[in-house]
Amino acid sequence: MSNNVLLRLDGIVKYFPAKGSMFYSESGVLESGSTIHAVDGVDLDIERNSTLGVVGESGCGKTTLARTILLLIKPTSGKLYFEGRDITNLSYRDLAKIRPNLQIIFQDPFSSLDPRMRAKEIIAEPLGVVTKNRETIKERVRELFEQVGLGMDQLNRFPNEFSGGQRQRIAIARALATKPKLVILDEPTSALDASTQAQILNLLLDIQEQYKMSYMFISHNVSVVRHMSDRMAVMYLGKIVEEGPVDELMLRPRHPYTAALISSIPKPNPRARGEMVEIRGETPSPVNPPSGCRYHPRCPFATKLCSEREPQLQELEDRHSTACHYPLKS
Amino acid sequence: MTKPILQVHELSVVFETFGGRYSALNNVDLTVNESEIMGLVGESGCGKSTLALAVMALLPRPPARIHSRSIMFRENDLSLYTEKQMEQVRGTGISMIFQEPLTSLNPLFTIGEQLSETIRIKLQRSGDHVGRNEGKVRAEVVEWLKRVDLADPESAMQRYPHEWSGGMRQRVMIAMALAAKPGLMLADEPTSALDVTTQAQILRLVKSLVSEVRASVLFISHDLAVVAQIADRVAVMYAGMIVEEASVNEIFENPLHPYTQALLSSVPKENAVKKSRLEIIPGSVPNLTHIPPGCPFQPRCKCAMEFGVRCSTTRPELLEISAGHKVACNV
Repeated sequence: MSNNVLLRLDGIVKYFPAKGSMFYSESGVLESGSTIHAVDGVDLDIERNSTLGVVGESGCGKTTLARTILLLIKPTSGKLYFEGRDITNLSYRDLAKIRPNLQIIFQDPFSSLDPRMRAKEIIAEPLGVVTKNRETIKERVRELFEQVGLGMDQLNRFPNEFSGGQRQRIAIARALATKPKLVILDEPTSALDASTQAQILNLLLDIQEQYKMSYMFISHNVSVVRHMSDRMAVMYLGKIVEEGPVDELMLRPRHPYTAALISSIPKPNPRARGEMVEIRGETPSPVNPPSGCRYHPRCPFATKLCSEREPQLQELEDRHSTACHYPLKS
Repeated sequence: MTKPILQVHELSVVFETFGGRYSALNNVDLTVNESEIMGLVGESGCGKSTLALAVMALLPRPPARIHSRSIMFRENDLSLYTEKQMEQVRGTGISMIFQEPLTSLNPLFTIGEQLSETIRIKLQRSGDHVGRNEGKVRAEVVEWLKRVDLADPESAMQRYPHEWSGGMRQRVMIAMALAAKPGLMLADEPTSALDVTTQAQILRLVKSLVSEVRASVLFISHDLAVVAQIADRVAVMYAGMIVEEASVNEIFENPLHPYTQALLSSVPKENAVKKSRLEIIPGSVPNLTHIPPGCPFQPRCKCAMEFGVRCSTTRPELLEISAGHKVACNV
């Protein structure tokens, strides 16, 4: 394993049981024992000091993947290697030693911060794992507060006294407290307005430079991911369908889904109208994903082979892989 | 040639709350022409939705207090209408769709029942006798479900809103909003809760159906790119005021108000250097209980520094600079 890989995901699978639905299915049988294929065999490498963007539509398994990486939920199968070490089945105590290196920032800063804790307590909490020295903690909290652009007069305030953008700054400070090697950003700016989003994105870029850490940037907003990432992975129904260097992937997508996803992004240019290519139909349910290639019912190029055999993620050119029987010409 | 269908004159809305007087709209003038898609953009809390609700007279009073010189819809002044008269306008005159279709559909009735209500009312208002027309109503429901590209409309009619995805629900909302052939549709962030691929489908649908029934649309969104794709003209709002208004090409190619310029440059561009820092607007949106005197954008504006005093004392008026391009800025 190359030394540059910080975290390796090897065939990560996460199924959830679809608990007995309240309604009977059309055949009159109570739906039970069915599983939701949330993440279904994901191989990914996250490199040191770089950003991997993960894009996909709601329900494609982005967030489940993030939670599995942090071992907040245990994968059904597959292995996670952190700095070359298998951490999938570590005991709680051993895991606690690794955890300061892995942090997460959530989408909604209104629900991810404890409303009864003061800003300084929220940021100090994770520091308690690393050190017990009160003075060190106090100093580090002040340092973090300044780094994320909050005023010292706000240290004692409660989350409800902050705006959305400021709360996201607190969440960032808390994630940084333990000087992690990897921060997972799960839709960090989706709840924010355009002008606030720009402030937060700039802050994230500054901090990455300073701390030399890796990001996994999860978002449905392809333009934002493109701006922030070095490499990009596209998810569809629990699978990675394409992965590669960001510009390469945006300019020369090889998977039909990636191509359609990119072309449906509205461009802030009224003269570029009519360039949108539409995808037919709706995303199928992850309870009964389609056979073969999961995209085949919506794909304009699908053949019989696509509905029968599942394509594997294959490297087509230098570090650009796609899972398609008939990849688009580059 | 361009005939206005909606003309809002000097509309102000104030919410009287325990926290103080919250002025959501401040002397807003807005015109939507016939068969035109008018985009209305701005950040959350700038008064976009309040404007739409005020036109529909759907704001609860109190706490809202509404003042306007007039709200002209075609030849009628809606600001003088009683609630009874407004009811006649809603649906057949002006209709509305919202961001979250799940909360605007009734969970207890099937899609077919909800859509036929609209169609029944339309027939009633046009003088048809409904009792004898159930077959006609049904046929029209099926017809509209087909028009919004829903497969198998016959079985779709029997379903309840929870059985549908967000995109399908929004299609039903659009069918309901347009089935009564209104002159104007107010669309409040209709695609903000949807995925990009679904959004692309819905935008195309709105565009083609609106031109088919020859309705005008006031399209409210926080997303400049979406507005760039759909609108003919665009108005930009900030802190309850319209700061700029122009044709869609003008707004994106020649923005004159510093806020519009800043808003446009704060979204990541396709051709920008990766990981370069984005241009930001310092500070945050002013509290609407204490809008600064003068230009509301002045504390965050980079131009105001040079002109100083005037921006902080004189509130700029929305003036026509060139044909069809209006700006409210002292600079």
